[in-house]
Amino acid sequence: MANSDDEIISGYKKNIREKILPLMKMSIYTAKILPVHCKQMKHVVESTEQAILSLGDSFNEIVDKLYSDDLVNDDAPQINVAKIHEKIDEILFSLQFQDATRQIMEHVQSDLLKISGELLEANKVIRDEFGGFEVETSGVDCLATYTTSKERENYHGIESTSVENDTDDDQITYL
Amino acid sequence: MGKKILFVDDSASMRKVLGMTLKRSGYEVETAEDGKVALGFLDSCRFDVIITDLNMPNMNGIEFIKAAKAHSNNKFAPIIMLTTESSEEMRKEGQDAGAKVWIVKPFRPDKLLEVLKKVIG
Repeated sequence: MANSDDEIISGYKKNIREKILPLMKMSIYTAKILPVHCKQMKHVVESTEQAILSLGDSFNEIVDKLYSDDLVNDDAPQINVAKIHEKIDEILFSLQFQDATRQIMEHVQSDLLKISGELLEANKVIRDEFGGFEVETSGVDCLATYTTSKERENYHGIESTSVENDTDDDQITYL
Repeated sequence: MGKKILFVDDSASMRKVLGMTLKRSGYEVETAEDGKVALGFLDSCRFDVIITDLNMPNMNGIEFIKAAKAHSNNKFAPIIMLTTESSEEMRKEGQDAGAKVWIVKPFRPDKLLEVLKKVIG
């Protein structure tokens, strides 16, 4: 009788395992890919920040020039100083959207990493209950959608010390 | 000599933008990336105004305001909160900690300069 009960339970477990396999496959894939997506977001945010800082330096140089005596004086009446002030303010206002984007991205990343951790934990519980099995996730790969070398590096977990875009060497290819 | 302003924000781009805004109007600006670093500046310098973000690593804006208000060098320096946070609850917390003005990012440079004139007098 005991053997018969064990067989029934084992049969149920096998049945459940087969039914939840697609779900497990997708959840493991999701758990693995979310940190990669987070890395992609982090890279984009850091790149835009570097771009803003660089833009700021260039902008400062232009503003210093505009404010110099050479340009804003009686010899250059065509320059509308108030209008320049207004335009500079508009630029300074617009540049701040990088910061807002960064914050939103950080919150999204934090949530995604939490979800990833919880999915892995849930999968561990299921494996403990229904036995271990290999989950093949290569069929749901997002690598094919990537177009930049940085995306591919992030996907493969390749650390890069630079947050700059591709180097000049990468940008120009003589065919 | 221009009035001295301490700006605390973990965003490098915000430090840049605010620095550009204030220096253009003749202010001297020191920047710090979080409250802990900013406290180091308070030891060595007296500021006319302190502008701080709210959400920062290591020490957030509210904790920093409380520490600054307890600091002998700078306890009377007016404090402006410059943050993306807009909830009434947080504003109240900022006010209770000692902030005089709460500005929600992104800020309009001309408006910030108006506020500074009012606050510094």
